[in-house]
Amino acid sequence: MLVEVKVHSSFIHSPMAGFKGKKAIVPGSRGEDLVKILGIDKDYCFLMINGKLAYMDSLLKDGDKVEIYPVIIGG
Amino acid sequence: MLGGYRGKVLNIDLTTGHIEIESYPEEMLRKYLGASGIATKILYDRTDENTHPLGPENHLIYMAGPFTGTRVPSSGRHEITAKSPLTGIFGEGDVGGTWGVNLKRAGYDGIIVHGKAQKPVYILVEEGQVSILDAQHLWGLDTIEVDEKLKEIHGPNTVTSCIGPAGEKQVLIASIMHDGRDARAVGRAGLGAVMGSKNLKAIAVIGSGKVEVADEVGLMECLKKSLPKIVANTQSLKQLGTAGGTLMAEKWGDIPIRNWSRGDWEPIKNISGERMAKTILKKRYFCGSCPIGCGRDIEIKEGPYKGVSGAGPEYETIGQLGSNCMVDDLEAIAYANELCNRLGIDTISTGSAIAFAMELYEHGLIDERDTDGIKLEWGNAEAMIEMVKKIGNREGIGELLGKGVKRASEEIGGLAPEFAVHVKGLELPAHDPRAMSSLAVGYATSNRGACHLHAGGFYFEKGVTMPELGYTEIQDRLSPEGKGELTFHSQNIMCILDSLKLCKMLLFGKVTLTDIVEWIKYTIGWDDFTVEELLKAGERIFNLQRLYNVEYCSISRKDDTLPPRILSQPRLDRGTGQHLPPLGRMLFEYYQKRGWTMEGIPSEEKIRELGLEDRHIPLI
Repeated sequence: MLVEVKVHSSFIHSPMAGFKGKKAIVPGSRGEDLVKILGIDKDYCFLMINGKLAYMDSLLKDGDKVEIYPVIIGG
Repeated sequence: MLGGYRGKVLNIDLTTGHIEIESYPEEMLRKYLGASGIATKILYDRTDENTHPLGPENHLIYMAGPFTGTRVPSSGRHEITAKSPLTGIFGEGDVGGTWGVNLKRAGYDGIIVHGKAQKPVYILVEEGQVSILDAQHLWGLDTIEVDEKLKEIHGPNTVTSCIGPAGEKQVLIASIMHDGRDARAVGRAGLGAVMGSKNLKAIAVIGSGKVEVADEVGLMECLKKSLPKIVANTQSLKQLGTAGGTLMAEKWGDIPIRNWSRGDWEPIKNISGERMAKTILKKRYFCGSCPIGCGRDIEIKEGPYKGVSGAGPEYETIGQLGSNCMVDDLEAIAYANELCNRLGIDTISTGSAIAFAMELYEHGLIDERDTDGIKLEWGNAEAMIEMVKKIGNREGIGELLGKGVKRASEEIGGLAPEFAVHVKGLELPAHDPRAMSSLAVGYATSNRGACHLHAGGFYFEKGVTMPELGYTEIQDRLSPEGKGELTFHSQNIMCILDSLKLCKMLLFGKVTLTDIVEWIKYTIGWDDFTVEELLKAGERIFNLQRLYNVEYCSISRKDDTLPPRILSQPRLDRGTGQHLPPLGRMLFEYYQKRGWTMEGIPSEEKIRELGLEDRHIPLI
């Protein structure tokens, strides 16, 4: 199945910053699996799926729009 | 007439009950900007080496900035400044919420309080009218109860700044709390004890006036350009709060673990911002005029901590009451956070003091006879909570720990100072100089003691850029190269933000100095203001704070250092390995860039360059 992926351009800790495109993943994949495919450290990012906050254990569905943002460490 | 400023500051003598209104000339406003800058100047003018921080002669200065109460993003803030009873040097705290906005709407830029009331009082500022009222019915109440009580008396639009029982008892790590259950804190440096020493329980404000700006249309057009980038680049803060990067902080070797003695701690996943969002988060909290919304509004619906609600723990709180004490129970941390907020104690210093005590307990320097039977073992959440209560109520060993780790370690003696992690008496916040080198020189030289929000260089090691200063790429976090110069710039920028009243999170939103100069133009009306003048104002404010510390508090290079644990004991973790920050080298570069002597004293030439040679001439 395919998901639409957007890696936010401010994600300076990833060479994938600014990436926008479709990614093939196997059914049953979770957020954690997707970021692994993209070579992004799961502790450095968080996900929004279809505009809503999601988690590394969130199940992905065909056609989901996944945005990947960098986390910001503390204030 | 200038926009932004209301042009009036209240001067209240609690000893006599006398109230005056002060106004400052434009030249001075341009020199010191507002909030932190103006308050620094007032503190410099009106206190000195003979001022006892808990004496009536100390001044407690509340000051908003020219942006407070306008549409400028993340400007709903104010500063509280005083000589610190915890450190004995310059003390201040920056805070968000809505109190500053309401003060401006009531017609004032600030309130200077000095003297001491004979009995507990509170100050009410209602639409320009000011009164000093009896607070005996409030004395003993916690900070949320005070807020509720004052709303009951004066109406739902009342916004409160107050102390809890800890401030009343002059606990040296007491905070000043704002906005009731939303719990916005001036946490650091024990300013709550200053308020308590004046028998001042609260300052309540009610305001509905408009803060006029120089060019409303121009400002709105200008903000249309800035807001989208701020919102897009701060999604982490909105979605996950300040604790959003907790897992990364552990991986980098940034968050303190076991009183700063080790790294790599797998249970960190149990206390992350993601875990909070997934479990107890109810909604996001936005301070005045803020498009980011990093505040957490939580609710615990079941279990031993059922009923905890309101402001959730920040990253700093999780780092101190959590990982530094090796407590991995998020709900216990949330409860301890609420206790700190209600009692009115700083979560950073409190967590740090408890971690310090846990290490003393481990090494046998204290035992159950000292702790009233509490097993103060690493990771014992119930013990951590009991210690919070003892510190906030100044009971048992809490009396000692509430003095901060420096004083406590000196009183205990022996090996205890080895475990006391502080600079100039202020406990380190939850960012490790072994993980980001600029923090070493930043903590060593910041004017209120160890403070990441005064240091600021670590923002540039995490991802912030500032094109006007040539920082167009992320800075290598472990390298000491250029970190003295970076800290010079970043500390000046922090002074600018604290004076105009802008939240530091805007830096993640890619706000530039040029943006800020534009906001000044449309808000205040200074059309000829430049980035250079802005940077010079930041440098001037920083140096005046340093001169306060040098001239009135005997601060010099001997004090610009770090705890032995940070300087010489590596974390040996996957984030930092054996890395230790080479402080001396960075400090040398820093002093050179500052134009200070090698003893850390601002040179006469630098003083003249900044227009501080007339610093002994009062503001008015």
